[in-house]
Amino acid sequence: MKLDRRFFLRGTSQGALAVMALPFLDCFLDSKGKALAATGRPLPSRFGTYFYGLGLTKQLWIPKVGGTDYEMTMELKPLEGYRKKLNVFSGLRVPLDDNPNYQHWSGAAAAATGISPTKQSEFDSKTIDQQVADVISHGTRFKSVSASAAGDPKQSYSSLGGPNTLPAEASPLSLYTRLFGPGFQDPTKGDWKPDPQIMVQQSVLSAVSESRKTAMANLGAADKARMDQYFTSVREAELQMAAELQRPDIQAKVTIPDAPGEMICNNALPNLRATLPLMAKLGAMALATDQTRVFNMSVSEPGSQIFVPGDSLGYHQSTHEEPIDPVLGYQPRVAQYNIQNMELFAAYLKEMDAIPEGDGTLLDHMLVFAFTDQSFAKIHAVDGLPIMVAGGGSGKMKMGHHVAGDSSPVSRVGLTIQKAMGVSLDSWGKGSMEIRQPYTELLA
Amino acid sequence: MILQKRLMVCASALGLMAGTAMPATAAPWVRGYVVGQYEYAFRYGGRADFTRGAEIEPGVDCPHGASTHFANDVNTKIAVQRQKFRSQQEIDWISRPPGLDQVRAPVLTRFHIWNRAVAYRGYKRGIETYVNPWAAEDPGQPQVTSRIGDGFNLDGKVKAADFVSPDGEKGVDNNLYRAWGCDAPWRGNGNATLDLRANDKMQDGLYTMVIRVSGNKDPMNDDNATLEIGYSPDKLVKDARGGIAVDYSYRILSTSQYTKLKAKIKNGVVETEQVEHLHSPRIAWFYDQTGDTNFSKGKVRLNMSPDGLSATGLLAGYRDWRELYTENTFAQDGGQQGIREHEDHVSLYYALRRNADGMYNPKTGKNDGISSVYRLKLASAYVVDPQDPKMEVPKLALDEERMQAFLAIKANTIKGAETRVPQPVPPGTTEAAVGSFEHDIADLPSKDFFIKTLDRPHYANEDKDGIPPWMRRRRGTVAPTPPAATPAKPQNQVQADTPTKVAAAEKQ
Repeated sequence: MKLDRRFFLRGTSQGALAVMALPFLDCFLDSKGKALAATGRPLPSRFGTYFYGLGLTKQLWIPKVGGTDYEMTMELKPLEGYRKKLNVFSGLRVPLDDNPNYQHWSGAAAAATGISPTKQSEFDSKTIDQQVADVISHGTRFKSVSASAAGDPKQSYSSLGGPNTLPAEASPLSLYTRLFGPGFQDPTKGDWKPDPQIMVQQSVLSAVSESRKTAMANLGAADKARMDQYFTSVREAELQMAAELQRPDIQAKVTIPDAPGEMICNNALPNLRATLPLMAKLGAMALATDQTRVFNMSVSEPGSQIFVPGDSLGYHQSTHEEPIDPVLGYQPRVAQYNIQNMELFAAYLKEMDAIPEGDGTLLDHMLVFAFTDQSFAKIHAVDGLPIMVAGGGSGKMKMGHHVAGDSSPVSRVGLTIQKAMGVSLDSWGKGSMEIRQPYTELLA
Repeated sequence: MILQKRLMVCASALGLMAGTAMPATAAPWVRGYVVGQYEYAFRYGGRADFTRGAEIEPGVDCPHGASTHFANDVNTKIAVQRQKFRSQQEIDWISRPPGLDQVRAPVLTRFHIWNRAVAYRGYKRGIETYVNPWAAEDPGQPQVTSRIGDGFNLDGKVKAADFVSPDGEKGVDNNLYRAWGCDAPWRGNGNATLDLRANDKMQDGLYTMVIRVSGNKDPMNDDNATLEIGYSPDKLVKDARGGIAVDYSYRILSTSQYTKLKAKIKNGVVETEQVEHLHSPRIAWFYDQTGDTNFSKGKVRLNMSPDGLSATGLLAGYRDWRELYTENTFAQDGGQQGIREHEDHVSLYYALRRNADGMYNPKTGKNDGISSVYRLKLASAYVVDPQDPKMEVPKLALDEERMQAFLAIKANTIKGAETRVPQPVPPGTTEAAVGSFEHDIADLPSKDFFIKTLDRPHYANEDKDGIPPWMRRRRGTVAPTPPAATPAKPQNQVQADTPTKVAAAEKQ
């Protein structure tokens, strides 16, 4: 029997269909374990964003030295196990130009778009995940998937610009249902057929595309622009449907679990410790099975409402109300929340790193952009925003560095990521954050 | 004799050298500075090495420590039980809202309830407190008892209650320090929250302040110098470490927030004349706070380093205390800042009023001003005139709506204080957690009680949840999520009834 990458082990278990995908066996891959043998195409790159609110404590997270020999500071300690797959950026600037400092928003929006926002709670352009998805997500079922560990669909930092924020899945069950529930085309069935509804929709769109040429010829410039914008969306829908008419391109060694039960999703830290790893695991499976190539995870809203049971102030209120300890020079309780935030990030990375894939793990074949809203939340400061990039991007980004305080705009990280992900662009960002120079020393 | 001659020759030569050197030191000179730190000149009197997890320690400045308003539910209860119109249930429920353990953001929910409650502490229901602080009982504000304070003798008198400067100068007038020096967010040993915040925003480009000193003799000693202080439209430049970069060029506007003063310099200390109106930029951390200080009887003292790279200084005069009140209260809204920073603007209002010591108003028989001293730290810069001498202070277009709302609420507050007729909160502000309260308590089981009990005057075009149009715009949503669509349990936000079982684990 000849095995190929689409081969699934099948059986029954307690009366239910049991399916297990195969790992990237050597016979699927080329001799170096880096590309699919059948097509010669490299393993696809995956991308993720990870949003955590309220930043970190400067004195406790910035390593004293730059380069690869930096010390894992108190707040980076939870990420120690991923040191070689982590780049840490300190001293980044967020110039606001002539825009207001929207508290808990300007920093997050600047990191995600390279643009100082002109409106609270709205991004001024597509967020970085969508710009990357435009390039790498062809052929997948979902262009991107977002998840909110705290149970709020509005806690999404993925947007097409303006009010068009893409809502997040707000519970593990919701995420599971989206990924593996109704509409999921099981590629293991022998009589696998494309969804007839999608075929009908596609044919309708094709008919529309024929007639639009006639319509466009009779329009003025402004209306043509509007129609172009509209048909761009239509084209994206067509591509999406075309993807759903094909089997997934890759499958990794994952066992899709049963649907998770209902879970309480809110801002209580013990709940987040349960929901976040589970949602990360589901996201990792979606990436590994090529359901999507872009997965966004958020821990909280920008002014994080995370709380530890018994703490009447919680995270956000503590950043404002807790005095700076005159001797320590920082807010001890806030620092504890910072560390707990990094522990959650480590739990997320653990799930991405747990799936073997080719010559490494899923994490090795993706980049995760971790960003936040404030550098010093007590005063709503944005300069010095703590930014991290994890993964390896299939070797396209050198990892294990602390890029120390060079006062670059935060958009430089976004530009570097996009270069590594194969996005063709010369510059990124606007105004004082428009940048043309990526961190070339990090690009392989 | 020979020795005498030689000495005379040497003396003559020295005299000639001195003579030839004089024109160099007597040439016109200019030193420019950009302000890198700008804050109220409050002196911290606690021990710098003291540490504890609560409020900053008591010290010689504030024997009872910093203010602790709204620091916990007990303090908040004390604040709301002063109002005779509240029932005991209302007082108890405000301080500890029932059902908080069933909402997804309990701290935020409680915060909005407190904000709404403390914003209505007048002598009867419906009087907004921060617009009408005079209509609320004075909760009391700890005041500075120290005798040492920074500043100048502005009134030329040495009074019993005046401060003595650290250099021994008597008669120092700085009653703003006396009134507000124990206020939690302004008290600290270089780490007071609002000092940090205001400086951070100034350094981020909210506004830029520059000083230009010029003369015709030695920059360190010149009895006929000029000091200009004003606003620059150029954003402050930071160096790679986040500090203030030196020797960048900044324009100084002469149209507003600008004053030109005569000055004398002795050993690098610049002392200006005292003028009836001294205009300069205000301390601000939001755009709506920015504007003109308009000090009465103002003056400036700078201490320039000999190398010209830096300077420190004081800027002082009498400021209209009602303007100081509004600038600090309505940066966001009185309740928000009060709860988060452990300060009560009603207390601060009364503290300003009783410490007002200047700008006597013969019509009312009261002082409209309070002696105020601001501390400056400067870095060297090239301060130049703009190409267009009529250039005005630019407006921040995206925040103009907030600025207009601020000006309206400021006008109402001053009118209320003068007439003792309660004034409404004009549209456009976030005062009393308008909109946020209604939106964020939606999942609280006791919400109906609070919406009814803590109701407020309503505005035109509020939506069915009571959220006014400007709050809908700021939230970035045309309409908030209707409560009916809010699931009983967060995990029920999934659309599918029953998830399809795609595959099960291979168990063998």
